[in-house]
Parts: sequence; C-alpha cells; structure tokens
Amino acid sequence: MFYFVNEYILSQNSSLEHAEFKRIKLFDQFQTPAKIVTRNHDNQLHRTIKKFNLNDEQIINMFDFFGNTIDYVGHELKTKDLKIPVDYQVSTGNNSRTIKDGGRLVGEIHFASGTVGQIARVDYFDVAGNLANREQYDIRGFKSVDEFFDGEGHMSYQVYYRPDGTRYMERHYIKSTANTPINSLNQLLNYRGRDRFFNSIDDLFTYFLDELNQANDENNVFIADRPAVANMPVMSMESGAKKYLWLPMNHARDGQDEVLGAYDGSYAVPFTPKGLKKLAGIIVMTNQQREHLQQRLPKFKKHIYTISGAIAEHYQPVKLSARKPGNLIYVGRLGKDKEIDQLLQAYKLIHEAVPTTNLDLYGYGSKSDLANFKQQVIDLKINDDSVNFRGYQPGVDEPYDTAQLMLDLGKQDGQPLAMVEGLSHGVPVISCNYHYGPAEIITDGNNGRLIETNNISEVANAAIKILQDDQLWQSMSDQAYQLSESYSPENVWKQWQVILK
Amino acid sequence: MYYFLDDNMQDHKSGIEHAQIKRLNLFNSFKVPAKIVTIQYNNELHRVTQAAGIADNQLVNLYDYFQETLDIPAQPTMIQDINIDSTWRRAADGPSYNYYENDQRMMYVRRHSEADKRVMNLQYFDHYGKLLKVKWFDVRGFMSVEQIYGWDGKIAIENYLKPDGTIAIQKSRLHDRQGKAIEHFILNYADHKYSFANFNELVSFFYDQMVSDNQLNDGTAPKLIVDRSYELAWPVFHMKKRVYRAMQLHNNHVNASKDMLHAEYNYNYAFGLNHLNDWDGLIGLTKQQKIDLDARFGDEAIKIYQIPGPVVSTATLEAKQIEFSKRTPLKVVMVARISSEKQQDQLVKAWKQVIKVLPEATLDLWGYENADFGKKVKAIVKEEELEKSINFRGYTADVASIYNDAQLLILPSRAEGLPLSLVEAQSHGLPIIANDIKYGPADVVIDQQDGLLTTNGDIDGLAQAIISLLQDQDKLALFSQHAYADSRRYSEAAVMEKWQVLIQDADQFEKGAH
Repeated sequence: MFYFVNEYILSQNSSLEHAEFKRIKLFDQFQTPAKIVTRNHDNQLHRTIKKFNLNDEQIINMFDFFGNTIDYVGHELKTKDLKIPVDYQVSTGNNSRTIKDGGRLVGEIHFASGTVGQIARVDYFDVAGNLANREQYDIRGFKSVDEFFDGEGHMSYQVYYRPDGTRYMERHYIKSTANTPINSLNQLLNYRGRDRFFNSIDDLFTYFLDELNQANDENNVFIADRPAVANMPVMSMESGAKKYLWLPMNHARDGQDEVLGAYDGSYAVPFTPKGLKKLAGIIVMTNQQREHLQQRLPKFKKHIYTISGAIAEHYQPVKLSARKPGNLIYVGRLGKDKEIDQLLQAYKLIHEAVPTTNLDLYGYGSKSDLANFKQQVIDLKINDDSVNFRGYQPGVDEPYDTAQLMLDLGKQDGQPLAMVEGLSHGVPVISCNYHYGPAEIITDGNNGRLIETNNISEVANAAIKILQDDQLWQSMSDQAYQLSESYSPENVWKQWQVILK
Repeated sequence: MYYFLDDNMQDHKSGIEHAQIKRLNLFNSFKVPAKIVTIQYNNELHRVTQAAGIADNQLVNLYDYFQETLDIPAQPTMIQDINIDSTWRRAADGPSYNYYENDQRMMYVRRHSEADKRVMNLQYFDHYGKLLKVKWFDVRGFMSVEQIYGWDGKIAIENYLKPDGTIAIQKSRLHDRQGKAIEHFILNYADHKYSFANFNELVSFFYDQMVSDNQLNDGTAPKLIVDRSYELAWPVFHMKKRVYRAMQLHNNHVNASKDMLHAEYNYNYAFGLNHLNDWDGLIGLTKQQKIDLDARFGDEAIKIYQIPGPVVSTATLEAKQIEFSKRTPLKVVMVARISSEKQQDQLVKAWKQVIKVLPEATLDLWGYENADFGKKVKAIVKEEELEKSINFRGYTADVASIYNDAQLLILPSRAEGLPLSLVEAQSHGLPIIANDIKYGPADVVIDQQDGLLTTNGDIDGLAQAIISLLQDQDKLALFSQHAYADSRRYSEAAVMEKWQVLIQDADQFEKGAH
C-alpha cells in the first residue's frame, strides 16, 4: 500500500493536495493500492472529498482510524434528531437555531455550510453567557467531539467519541506564554490494552503511522507530502516502512542559493546524514531540482527521483473562435509571494495596448491579501471591471477551455501544477523563468514564453505580441496540446516505476 | 413512598441525619415504604450509608440517579485494575505512587491508605508538569467524576460519568463579568440534553423525575418529608408535579424563645415558614413546640404535628437493665458537641462547686470540639484546676457503653430541638439533669421522677442539683429505674402512632388529588 501523508483536505486546497488528488487517480488508473493519509480531525472530511471525486477508500484519517469510523456510513443529522427537550423553544434561522428556556439562552445549533440544516455543532451556554460546552458533529451524523471551556473562554479539554457514544481519545490544551493554546497531552484510551499518552499531535501522528503500517502487514510505502506536518512523523516511524519525502516546494530557504544556501526549515533535519539513513528516497517534481539536490547530497544522489506532480489529461482541442477573446487567466493561490502585484502591473500594460482583454484570477487568498490586490486594481486605474477575482473552484476545466493566455510572474515553486493544466487545455503560458518548473514545462516560443523574473514589461510585450497575432497564438496552442503529452498519465506512471519496483 | 429529603450524608452525621436513619428504621419496622434522598455528590456515600445500616435500595442520591448507579454491586478498583504502562518508573509516595516516563511525570495514583489500598483517584500531568485532570473513583469502584483544570489552573469542569464512561452531568464552574462563580449544570438524561442555571433548578428537576419514577415509588404514591428546608424548600416548591410535602423541624424554629408569637425565625426555617401555605404539614418535635406552633400558626390552614425524632428501639427496651450498683460511683457524663449553645463552660463552673463537696466525682465530656469553644472550655478547666476530675474524651460511636456505665447525665444547653442523647441516655437507665429550655428536656425528663430540670443560666442551681443527686445514691438508683420505664414513651410503637396521624392525612391528600 502507498500512503500519501498529509495534514488535511479542505474545501479549498493548495496545489499540494491537488497533486495528491491527481496522483491517487493515477494509482487508481494503474490499479495500484494507495491512500491519502490525513492527520487533522475534520467533521466535514467525508463530505469534502466527494467534491474532489475521492471516495472513502481513498483516504484514511488518523481520528477515523482510532475511532473505528474509516468507512462509517451514518445518516444526515438534523435539528429534530437532537431530541431537544420539549420544555425549550427552538427558533428558526438560515444557518443556525437558538434553544431557549423562557428568556434564557440554552444553546445554539449551527449547521454545516452548504448543507440544508445538517448539524455541525451545538454550543451550550451558562446563565452568564459563557460557552460551557461545544458539541461537534461529524457530517455522517454522530457527535464526534465534546469541547469544554474554562472561565476565560479557553477551550481546555476535548473528548472524542465513536458513533456509539464511547470515548476513544481525550486531548488537553494549556496556555502558552503568548496566550495561545498548546495541545499538551493526548490520551488515547484503552488502545491495545491500555491508555497511551502523547505530548503532542506529532508524537500521536507518528504512533498512528506505525499502527497503520503494522495493521497492513508492514513494509508499506509512506510518502510525506506536507513537509511541516509529515516529514518528522514519517521519519520517526519505528516499524518497517519505505519512507520518501515528496518536495512540493523549493528545498532552499526563501531567496537562498539552491546549491549553497541554507535549507528550508522542513529539510534541515531530514537532509542530515542521520536523517537520510531513514529515507528510501527523495522525490522532486523537476529534473533541475534533482540536479541541485544531487550536488548537495552526493552520497544520496541515487535515491533522488524526479516524478512530475502535474499530470496532463488528454483534452479535445478548442479553437480560438470558441474561446473568450482576450481572456487572460491566472490560476493559483493569491499570495504576495506569488507576485500578484507584478501580474496586475503587467496586465495594466497589456490592457492599455489591447483594450479587449480581461483578467480572471482563480484561487484563494487571505482576506487581507485579497483586499490589497483589489485596492491595487483601483490604484492602477483599471476602471472597466476587466479584472475579476473568481475565487477557488474545485475544478477549472471550463475556464481553461475558454481562456486565451495564462500568466505566471511567480518567483519559486516545486512545479506549477496549473501551468501544466493550462497547457493541456491548449492555453499558451507566459511565465517568468523561476525555479522550479517553467523551464521544463515551457519550450520558449513554442507553447509559451519564458521571461526573466521581475521583468514586467517584457511579460506584457510577449503577451501583447501573441494577442495581436492569431496565427502565432494558434501555433502555440497546438504545441501546448502536443507537448503536454510528456505529462500524460502513462508517462508519469513510467516515472513512478523506480519507486514501485 | 415516603422520601426523606436531605442534603448529604457523611461520616460526621448531625442530629438531622441520625433522626432520618431512626425514622427510616421505624418505617421499615412498620412496613411503611420509605427512602432517604440526598442531593450532594459524595464518592464515599455508599460506604457511609451502608455503615449506618441504610440499604442501597433505600437511598436515592441525585448523582446516582442520573449516573444510573443507584444500586450497583461494589467492585473496588485496585492499582492492578489500572493498566499502567509497564515501562514507566514508579515512585512510592506513602500509599500512593508517582509514575514517570523517563523524567516526565505522567500520572499520580492516589490510594486511600496503607490499610485501604483502593484507588481514590488518578491525576494526569502534561510535559510541562501541569496538572490537567483528576479522575475520581466511587467507593463502589467505577470512575465517577473527572475534574478538568482550566488555563488558570482552577477546576473549570466536572463531568459526572456513568459506569460506561458517558457523561451524565456536566458541571461547569465559570464566572460572570463581576468575577463571581457560576455553577452551571448540563444534564444528559433519557436521550435529552437539559441545561440548568444553578443547582437548585437541577434538584427540582431531579425531584420531579424521582416522584414520577414508578420503580422508585414501588407502585405507591410519593410523599416528601423535607428535613432540611433551608436547602430543599426552594427545589421542592418549584417542582412541576405537586405531591404531598411536609416540613420537619429539627430544632427551635425561632432564635429567641421569649416571645414565641413574634420572635424572628431561626434562619434554617425562615424560608419554609414564610411559605407555610405551600406545605401540607409542619412537624414539630415536642409538645411544647407544638403548643408554640399552634399559637402562632393556628389560624393558618397548615396542619401541625408533634412527632419526636428520637426512637428507642425494641431491642434496647427489651435489653437487660443495668443494676445501679454496677455503675461507676460518682461518674457524671455529658454527651454533646462541645459548642457554645451546649454551654459546657457553665457546667465546668458548676463542677468547681461539686468537686468541693464531692472530691471523688468525675466528669467526662464526650463529643467533637468546635475549635474555638473547645479551647475556651479547656482553658477554664485549667484555670479552675479541674484537670484531675474533668476529662475530654472526644467523639465515640459507642455511646451505649457510656450510658450504661455512668450514674448521671448533664445537658446544660441553652437551646435544643429534642436532643437524641437525652432519649438515648434515658433508655439506658441514666438519670438526667438538664436545663428546662426550648425544646426537649421537659419532654424527656420527668422532674423529680427520672431526673431534674434546672434553670438555664443558674450555675449555682445546676451545681446544687448535681450535688443533691450524687449525695443521695438511693434516690439516684430509683431515678434510674424510672428512667428505664419512662423511655417507653419513645418506643417504636409510640412514635409510629404519632406518624400514623400524618400518614392518614397524607393518604387523604392523595385521594383529594385524584
């Protein structure tokens, strides 16, 4: 069994999770058993995965494992199922209900977002309005956690339940010097004959990975996907397992030289000789990153592999006439580090030269980042509503098929997944030539353009040129479809053979 | 079913609990179904009640009721029942243990004592050394409550558990904006989740469930005898189900006895007496108390009863009487808590005069000491140089042997309800000298027949009374014979006859209700 070790699957995911989704689909296609492993407790998990076309057999969550609810099938739980005492009055509302005893607020029922009245949690208050107890409900229709609060409103204690109401875990939270909660004890109850104690969720996660490995005859393959959360627990496993680190990012600290500079914090320990001894290999997504790492880790160079995270499906070509004229897209997280402000500046130049253009940005970002970018649009005096933040969507096939050009002015990545997706939909890409990925994905002048980083006007010039020359665009789009073949499932599966052997 | 409502039952029982137990035994003798009801959490409760001869099926505790542990077999938890990681290092701390993983303290297992090695609680720590929670075992062996500490290091939550580990009652100890503590209760009961703004509301809800529980009622109509109206009248009045309810007085109902018609109520009874019409009966202990109650409340609709709390068991009445010559000559005893209203200080002052006339006389003071007053009495004994003849003997459960050995019992109190010790002493043939105060001595002591009644505050009179009886051993022997005979007034049959009056009225109430 292959386990892809991660922290969570959210309703809005980063390219790390999207790479996992593609990978799990690939393994499924080639009939090789694999699962995504998630660490965090998540009441919505089994509903969320459906949005990404995953089923319960393709994931395994730590809390489901200990709570025996990996494949639990329940029922929708609604207000009427809570059996609220007849003495109390229940209000109506869109996303919540209040429970009152005369004038006194007893509790509040909150629904899971995007559902019709399915219970997410119920809060109970004391007479002074202090939150005394919060019940969390799993979307599969059972109370999964009781949370208890202290006099200052801090959550200090959680009890985790199986669907039959029995406890399987107790977790404690105390105050840090920064007045934030620290999870300082995790007590797994009566597991294999006795209670087991863990000082942190990392320790618990390590124990879980060993248990998971042993429950499946050992010697399984564990690939640590989310560095900060998975690297150390995977490496600390004691049972027999083949352990790989997957690098979803640059291994060097921000702005440092990739061969000589300091490692990113997630790799400082794993890439010591002692750390490497525990690993079966390191997987990077581009050859260039492999070469850099091989220079740094000469003794380990045979165990550094390139496997693309991006996987390009074969799509029906869409002609220019069927696309939205002048539609530029960006797909990815909307963060400062993604140089969205440079992207907007480039767009300003393009839009002045080709007024029929518009820009759609797909992806999520923090509230404050988004507000800044929107303010920037105003500051740039782009007054015609031609820039639109479209938010995060689980799938972006349709926007790709109607776009004309894709822009990426980023500075670094492990491999830009969206770039390969865009090209596979015949969208030429103009990208800055950052590490790692663009140089291997784009053949300059054929399926797009590679521009030096920070050269905003050159990006704009390249885009204007293509937008003003339909023949050039068509040739680039044709080659985008053709060159994507190297990322086909069959070709990526070939890369996996070194691990599968 | 008669429910005797009380607050708690502990090793150190007050007169109220003793009276309840006697009443329960009395009702059992006459096959009138009855149970004692307590509302406080007490993980030693069933040890205490069993030692007091109360069967588990005659005890209803609020927490037991909701934890579903009213009547369960006892299976003490010993240290080997807790599966502790065998790799942990163990360090003894008296009868208890600390457990360490490497240098990190993981757990503290507290046991009762070297002699009683049952596990009392488990304490859990994190790797910062902070105490996170304590899990307590009930005396019957199941994990009964978990106390959770908050960020501030104070207990924030107490979860009372059913034997299957699910939470029956969550008690949160948070505070309001002024920083005042709020005790809030969330109850998981019969598939529902209830919220109670305070303990009284929970108690009220509990009483309603109890009186509606056919199994507890054993098919009979529920009736309440409220023994602690200060704590329990409010929850009883706020029940949704109206059942028969009577208020039992256990002491003088006013503070100062001079003007019984207008005197301020004893605070223990003020709330109950201010809601006189909410009761179906009011029970006084003595004839004089009933006279005073009738005078004050005679115009109200309330029915007033006189029923003594103390009962002399048939076994005691039929026991062989002690020949007076077998008693230790000139041994005088007082059996009462050493506290100001019992006025041991006055007795000690009187004793100074006694000892001048009868240097061989001895006085044993039995009973717990109220800290300050105990010191005060001891200081007087020292000052008056009476250490040779006065002994402080502490508390004993075996009062019978004291009563069987002495020649005279003194009770110099300034206020009482109807002292159990007087009735008990008399049943063991012990002559009594007691202040004629409200209430009790006059109902027990027949002056010049089985003892003497003295005037409260008259120390010389008290001394003279003691001297006169100790000097006349023949009279004392005669008084002893009379004491045995007079105590039949408190036989089971005699007391039950008084209860029958109330029981008939309660049955009438039930008929009226249906």
